[in-house]
Amino acid sequence: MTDAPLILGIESSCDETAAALLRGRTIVAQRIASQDDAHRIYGGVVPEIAARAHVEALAPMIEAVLAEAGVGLAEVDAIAATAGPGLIGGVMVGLVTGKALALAADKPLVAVNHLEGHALSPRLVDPDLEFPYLLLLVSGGHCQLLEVQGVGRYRRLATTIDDAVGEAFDKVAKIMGLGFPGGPAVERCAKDGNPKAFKLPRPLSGTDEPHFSFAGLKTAVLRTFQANPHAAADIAASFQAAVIDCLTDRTLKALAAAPDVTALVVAGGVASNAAIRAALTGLADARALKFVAPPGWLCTDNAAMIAWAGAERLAAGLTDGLDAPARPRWPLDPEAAPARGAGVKA
Amino acid sequence: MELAIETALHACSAALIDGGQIVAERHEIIARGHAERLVPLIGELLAEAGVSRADAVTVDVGPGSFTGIRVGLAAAKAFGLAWGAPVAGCTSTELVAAAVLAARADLDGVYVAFDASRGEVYAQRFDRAGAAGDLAALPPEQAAVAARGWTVAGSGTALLSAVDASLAVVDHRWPRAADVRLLGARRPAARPLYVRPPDAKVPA
Ligand SMILES: Nc1ncnc2c1ncn2[C@@H]1O[C@H](COP(=O)(O)OP(=O)(O)OP(=O)(O)O)[C@@H](O)[C@H]1O
Repeated sequence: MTDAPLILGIESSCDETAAALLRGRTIVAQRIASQDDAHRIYGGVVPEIAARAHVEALAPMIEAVLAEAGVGLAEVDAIAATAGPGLIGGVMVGLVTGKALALAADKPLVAVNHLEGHALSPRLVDPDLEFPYLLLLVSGGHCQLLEVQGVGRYRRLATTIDDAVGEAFDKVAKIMGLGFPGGPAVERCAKDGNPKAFKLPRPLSGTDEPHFSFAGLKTAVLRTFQANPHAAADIAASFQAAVIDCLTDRTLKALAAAPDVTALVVAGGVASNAAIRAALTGLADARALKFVAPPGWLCTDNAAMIAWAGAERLAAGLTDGLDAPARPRWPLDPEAAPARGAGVKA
Repeated sequence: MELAIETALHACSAALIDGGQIVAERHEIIARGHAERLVPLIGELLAEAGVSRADAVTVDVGPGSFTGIRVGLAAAKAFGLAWGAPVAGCTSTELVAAAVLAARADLDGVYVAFDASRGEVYAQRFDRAGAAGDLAALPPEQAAVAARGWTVAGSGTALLSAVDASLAVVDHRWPRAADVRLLGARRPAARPLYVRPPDAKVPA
């Protein structure tokens, strides 16, 4: 393992500033600074506040990670920085930092697609996970089903035509005043509720269209909460149950379209939801598929997954020029047919 | 050897400076794409000068576009980290003031104004001794009054002239990294100078 390259990973595409040093599958050192506190009063991430915090925090954090590992930049074999998709001001901070380090230390740069970081992260914790696998990517900005065929090779089977699933959790939390970030708050609230208390819609479930939709569900939650302002726990539980039904229905449909996959993998911030994990575990077991869900810390934004994607790309000979663009949008499967209304979340 | 970086406004500008002399320089007016162009451009400078590092870094910390300020700062801090070099800051206004006053021995001072969009300019007055006024974001009408009796420079010149056609002006629109050589040796640590707070409203 000491022969595996040492990769410095940098992540700054949303509201976490993160840096990590990875050798093989060993995280030598890593730091994550969440900006939740700075954004809480606004009820969501403010891009300019996020970008200001990234430029403040990133360089000292990289220095701390190198110091903790007891290595200098000269011993690093490659620099992997998120180049998108995400909030462009923050992406630029991390990418430019990575480029300057790469030039100064004369190391290769890997400009990593943040989504590829999520998509490959299960292989960081599970050495036996082979391509191809079906990935359910569920985060604040994305809700997709992808056949992961290899490094840099993705076939998108479904995406959301309106809200991402994490976004739906966040909006529901906002509607019921549960706090920010919304996902964990809704999950906590749902623990004491009855998932059958309210009949909520399962948009697109059972239809031929393979995609996700959560806008109608969110609106239904709003109406239900207005009519039953003291039933937050039951509403949260019913909402979570509806989300789970949507996710499993769409996952089954994707599995039918990708018969070669041997594993079901869930990644992204929403994958830290225990009820969602349990439902997907059951689904995979019933079909004799391997099920992999990276640990919670690896599901939310972090730099170890960026370093890992960098290591995988480096091994495949995929490095980038110092003029690599910062990309606010960057689909994993650029060839995928546009989904109606999908826009940014395609 | 000092590396100077300026990306706060329309220029993507960098220079290697040694003993007050420009060793290598790039100054490209690109308006956008600093995050893509800056580091390759610095690579060209290092290659041209035949060096692999600088001993100090100075970066323009603003005022200017928030994104441009951060691109320069992120690069400067990373070079500082990699080379173990101190990272100092200078301002867009002082770079233009130093250049104009160096070129025009007849002037006692200069009023520097940049288009700050949203109907304002970033403006500051300098005399030969240094900054003579506070840096502020102002409506051009107010800046034009403050500029009376001074010569105006910077990308906001036209906005001020539109208000008061009698103002004396020099055509020097953008700060230039190489002009760091004209600044005094004592420089503050690099901290962003955004002037304006972030756009964010606390929901009612
Ligand atoms: N326990 C949970 N249950 C449901 N949702 C959760 C849970 N924990 C986190 N989330 C949701 O996950 C999202 C954050 O995940 P992540 O950090 O991966 O996404 P992001 O950075 O916002 O988006 P992206 O990675 O697509 O740019 C938020 O929407 C949050 O509410």
